[in-house]
Amino acid sequence: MSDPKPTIHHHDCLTGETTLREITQEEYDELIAAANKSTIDLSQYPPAEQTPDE
Amino acid sequence: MAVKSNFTDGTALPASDINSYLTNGGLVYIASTTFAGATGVEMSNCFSSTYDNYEIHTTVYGSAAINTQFQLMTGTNTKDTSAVYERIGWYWTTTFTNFNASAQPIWFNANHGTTAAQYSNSQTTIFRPNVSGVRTESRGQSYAGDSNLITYANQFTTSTTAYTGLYLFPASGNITGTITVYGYRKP
Repeated sequence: MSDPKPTIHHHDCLTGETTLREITQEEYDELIAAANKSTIDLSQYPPAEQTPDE
Repeated sequence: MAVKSNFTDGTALPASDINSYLTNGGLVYIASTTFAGATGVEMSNCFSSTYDNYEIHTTVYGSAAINTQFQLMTGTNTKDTSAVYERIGWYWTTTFTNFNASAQPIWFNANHGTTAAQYSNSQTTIFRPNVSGVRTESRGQSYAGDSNLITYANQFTTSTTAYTGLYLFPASGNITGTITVYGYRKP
């Protein structure tokens, strides 16, 4: 993991308390796994520059 | 609070009724948090039996031009990382493109860029996340200011878990922005 260390922002909606903590290895692995498994195809992003209609 | 609709001319309005209407609109603010450089954002205890349906607004830009996504949570911050998320929708840049998907580990939220001046915004309604025995469904749309990329997605879970929270995270890098949760007041 690179610096700055990946941080999880935790907000408790009941108490209004916010805490920051370093991501755990398990959470990091799950994040990578989710990214690898998902099939979102936004291959056109960013879009090619458009030419205004004549 | 039950909605009163039988006021007539000359009816005295008790302070309690006025206060109730002032503080209990149809859409009730639950919580909001602003984050910077976060790998993920956990909104804990935002779903409960108080409301059935919720409105989620996110405003995000990131360290990379990529997507943000949701996972539903139980307990304090236990993410449902299993392949229970389904998506039916499209995105538009120069043409409409189908991006349906089954058995995903995430719900799609929005695409975003890296420019602070051009935050990506999303608006998602989540139906009955905290009701056990039913699938959770969502309907969301987003716009990424950097790219003019627009998305519209109907999504649901194949699980019938009663969820209590929501996890927002980018596919890579980190994100800066705000997430706000509202509840639809029940009669």
